[in-house]
Amino acid sequence: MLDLLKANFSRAFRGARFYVSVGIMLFVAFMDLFMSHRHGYGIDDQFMDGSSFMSLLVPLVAGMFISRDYTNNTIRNKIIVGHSRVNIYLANLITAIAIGFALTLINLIPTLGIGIPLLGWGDADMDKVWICMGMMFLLTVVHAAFVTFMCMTMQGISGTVLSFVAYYVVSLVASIVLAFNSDNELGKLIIDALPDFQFSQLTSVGELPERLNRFPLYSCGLIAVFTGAGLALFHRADIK
Amino acid sequence: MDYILQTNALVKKYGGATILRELTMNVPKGSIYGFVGRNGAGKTTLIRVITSLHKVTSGEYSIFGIKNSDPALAQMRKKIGAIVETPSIYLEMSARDNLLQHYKMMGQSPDRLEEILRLVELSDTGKKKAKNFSLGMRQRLGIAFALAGNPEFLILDEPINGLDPQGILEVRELIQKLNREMGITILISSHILDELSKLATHYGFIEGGHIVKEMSAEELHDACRNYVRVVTDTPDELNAALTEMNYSFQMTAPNEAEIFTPFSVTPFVKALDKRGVNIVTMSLQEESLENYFMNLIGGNRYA
Repeated sequence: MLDLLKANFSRAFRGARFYVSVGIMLFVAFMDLFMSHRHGYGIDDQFMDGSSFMSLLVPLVAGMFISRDYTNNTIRNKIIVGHSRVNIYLANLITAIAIGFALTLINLIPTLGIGIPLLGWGDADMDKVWICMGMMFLLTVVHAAFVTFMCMTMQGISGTVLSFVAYYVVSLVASIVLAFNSDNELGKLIIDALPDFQFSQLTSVGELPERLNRFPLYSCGLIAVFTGAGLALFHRADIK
Repeated sequence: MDYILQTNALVKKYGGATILRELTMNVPKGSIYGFVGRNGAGKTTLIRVITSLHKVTSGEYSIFGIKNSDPALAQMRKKIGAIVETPSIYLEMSARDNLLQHYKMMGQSPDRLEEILRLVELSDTGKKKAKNFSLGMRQRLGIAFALAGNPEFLILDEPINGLDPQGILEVRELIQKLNREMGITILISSHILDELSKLATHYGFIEGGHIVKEMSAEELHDACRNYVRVVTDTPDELNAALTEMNYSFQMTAPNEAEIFTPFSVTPFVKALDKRGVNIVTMSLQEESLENYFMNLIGGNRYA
């Protein structure tokens, strides 16, 4: 496992896609600083905005990283030399999570490092800030688990593309369902379980979400489902 | 005889299609095993199964004497190098970076990196990315990957496909060198029989997912060598005469013999005549590896 991680990490954090993504996250950070400065906001209202790009950037960087192993057929080398499929899958998942965390931190560090001295913190409750940051990182893990599942089971670039599409299709369908079920249990489930809706609640101004205690359960459930299904499918898959 | 690879009644099915049918083969240690079969016969499927890329439907195999059901085989797989169909390399990296990445993945220190690059003649490619390599260079880089773990068993699936004559020569010389100088057992699949015949010490012929024949190069040479078929109405006299003359031959029918010792016709016929042998017909038979293979699979479907 450690050997796989070393090899993955030496490949993951270089290349045009990663640096473009770093550029996007830095651009978003500085745009947030600029907008907050212009409107006279404290940085507490803006510092999580960069995380909204995770649904786009995790598939782009982590998804392409995993898919490239299939398009180059280098996944074969890992199996041929005797690495277990479970270790290969988990090493890719950990790498995808690390990519997501790295991009989140690349956005957060300048936002907070420059924003707090320049604009002031604002009046946000620190308990809410820490909870929201924790949930934000958990959502990044959900994205990484989903992308890893799609890429490892689709065995190619189609996994990356479908993970882009699936995320937005699910959100769209959920919005339609929600329009007719906003007050019942199904509506609550959609709002609390799907990452997109969790994120909207976490970043909305005001009090913490009403059913916040359910968020980590749903997120951990999604991570377990994606990873469990991905491991089961990859374990018995014939590799092209 | 020691065997590096043995399979026992391997079956591989995809959906409703059976690709490998009770396949049993034996690859002797130290050999260059030519795995011969037409396209679609199941060569690559078998290689995918033994390299663990594909799951076995039923049957079993052992590598280095360890069965596929034994978890200890995973550790021994480090001693296997393989190229399956196309070289599995990072196209966006140089040859050196590719190998470094491979060493990291195997958890080994890259002590032999330069030596291997020299061996496959890629040490002077500098920062040129693999995507800009010729097919032959990519093939050699794939072989470098396969060699990185000091393998005892090398599996090469159609390694000369698409190579130009120079590339074929280079790969052939490299394979011979690895076998003779480093003692690596090599399983090499191909449907280019002429090329295989320059390398292989043993053969396995596959057709319809089943091994139809395994033999050594010597046995194949004997089976393929030119001979004269003699039909006679005095078979006992012919048998006695050929034995007395110390010829290599075999009686293939009650009145028919195949003679393998080269001879000139006139003195041969005179000698037989003197011993009371009456020859009805005599014809020269030539059998190439292609002919032998086509006869073996029972038709002319080979392509």
